[in-house]
Amino acid sequence: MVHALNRTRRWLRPDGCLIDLHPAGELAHVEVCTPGGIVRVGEVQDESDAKGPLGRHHAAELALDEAVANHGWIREERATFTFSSQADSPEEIDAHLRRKWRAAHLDVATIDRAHALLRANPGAVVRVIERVVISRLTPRS
Amino acid sequence: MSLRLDPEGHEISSLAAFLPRRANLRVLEIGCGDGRLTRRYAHMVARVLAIDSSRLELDECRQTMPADLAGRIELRESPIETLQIARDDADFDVVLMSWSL
Repeated sequence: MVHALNRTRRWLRPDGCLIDLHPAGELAHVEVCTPGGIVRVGEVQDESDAKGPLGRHHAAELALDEAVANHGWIREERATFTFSSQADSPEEIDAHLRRKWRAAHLDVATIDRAHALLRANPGAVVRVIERVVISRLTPRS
Repeated sequence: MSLRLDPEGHEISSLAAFLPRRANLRVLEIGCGDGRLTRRYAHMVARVLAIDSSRLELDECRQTMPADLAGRIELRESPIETLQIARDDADFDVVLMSWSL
């Protein structure tokens, strides 16, 4: 990862910057937004690799820290934000996860809990919530 | 109704806040995937070279790219490890790594 990150330096202007986005160190969760409030119904089951989502976050943070400590980058700015993926049914969410995430899905219990809330609350939506870290790094001159 | 990704716009507003404050930005995006994010920020910059190692993802990106953005986005199939950029073109204002570390 650090190698890839450092490789980008050759393509940057001297006053250019690198912007990285990666999931923050918490599991993505599933919630249903009802008129009465937001109800958490489960977590995304992510079996992409041995590291798992938290391990991948940790590896990305380590790569950035290593780039700053030993490879001449300055981490100028860092922030987090919430990324939501909304749908009208948990099956839509599940299909999206299976197609676009590496090997993630919703478990049956989460789907059932979401359905119960959606049936009881017309107009409610189900969504996946991820926390994302965004960082801006610049090459040390 | 179909899936809605980041309907609140948190991702694009965060990215906009981190982009350099100058005109005619050139962006190299590493791991653009199906272009979900590329489509959202491309109108803010002058040129994008977006790379991905997956031909399938790039095909989807091409098929879903709005015509008014196509002229400013170049897509290239390549992993970062073997990416070659001519010296004259290697002056990007921003390298964007989106979920690719």
